[in-house]
Amino acid sequence: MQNHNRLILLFLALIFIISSCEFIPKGENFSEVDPNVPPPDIVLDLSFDPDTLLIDFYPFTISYSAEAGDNLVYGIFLMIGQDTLQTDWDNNGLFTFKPTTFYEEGVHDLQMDIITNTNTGSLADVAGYEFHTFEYHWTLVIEDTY
Amino acid sequence: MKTVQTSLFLGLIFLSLINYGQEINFGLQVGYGNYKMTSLQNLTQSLAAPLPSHEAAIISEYPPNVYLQAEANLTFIDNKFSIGMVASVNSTGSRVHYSDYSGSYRFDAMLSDYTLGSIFKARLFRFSKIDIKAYSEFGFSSTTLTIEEYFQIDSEIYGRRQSYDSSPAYLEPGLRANYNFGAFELGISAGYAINIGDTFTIIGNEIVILANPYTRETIVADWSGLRLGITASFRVFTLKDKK
Repeated sequence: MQNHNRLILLFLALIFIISSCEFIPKGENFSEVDPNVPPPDIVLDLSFDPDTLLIDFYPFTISYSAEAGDNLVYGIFLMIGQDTLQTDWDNNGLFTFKPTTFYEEGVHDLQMDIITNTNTGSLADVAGYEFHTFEYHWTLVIEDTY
Repeated sequence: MKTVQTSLFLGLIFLSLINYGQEINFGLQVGYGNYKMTSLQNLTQSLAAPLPSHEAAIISEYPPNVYLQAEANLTFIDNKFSIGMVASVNSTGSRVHYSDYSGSYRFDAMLSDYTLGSIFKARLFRFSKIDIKAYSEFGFSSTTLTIEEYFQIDSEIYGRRQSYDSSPAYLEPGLRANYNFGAFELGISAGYAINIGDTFTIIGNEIVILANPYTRETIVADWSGLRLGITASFRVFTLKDKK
């Protein structure tokens, strides 16, 4: 009987210690990150006159590149109005206006969106979810060359 | 049929040993174990590396933890030698956590290990009521690794939970010092577990082997490390008085 009592006590102690030795991860790490980092200065290098881009012969190729200092340029979007002409997932690109592509003769709005990271050092910044968008507009004139 | 034969064989050995045995002891050991877990530590480092302030993001990395061991022994020849069965529970894990105003990332790895093995002990010295014993354990274990991952930025949320299992073998030589109170013994134990690691596979899918996605290193359960414990044992049955 005494042995039985000992065994019951040991069994209960066993259950208690087994449950207490299970590793449960604890602790959190919250970083104070300043989200108010000023946007970078963009330096553009364009192959065309920024006042007016005149397309009077085909094929007509333009090149462009952007530098953002310590920030990373994710990509460049080139658009006419709502139509995206080209997307470059880089800090530079080339685009050729071809005779096979139809653009109405006249004056258009050529838009370039440059996407950079924010350099806040936050999780969203590192994961590429947080970015600055810089929008540029130029006057594009297409003349009938035929 | 093979299982029955093996059981009968082991049963006969046990019966023959009982014939020579003097007493049956039952013991418990509680202690602190540290665990090597090299490949799992590499995985933790790989996951934390892309995070901002990645060193602070490693909250815990397979720290030493409390283990429990139970054993039943049959002693021989004036209690100089004993053989027995031993079972133990080990647990450790890791946490990578980072959060800031923009979101949070958490990676938890929880490891639990249940071992079953044989133990052989030999008394080296006896000073008054203190016995110094050398021991060696050998056995197999069943390790379960549960991974929980959570990533949230703005309204984007990703989470997963996956369990893996592994069946490594181990060998643990060590020393024990016991103070004898008659039917009851109290002691300390120091040993080093050498693990023969085994890969992790998804529970229910033995084809998928867990590997570090950054380095392609295969992840193994490596419970190797120092074991320091306090033991308490008592005599359950006295089989023969051969003194």
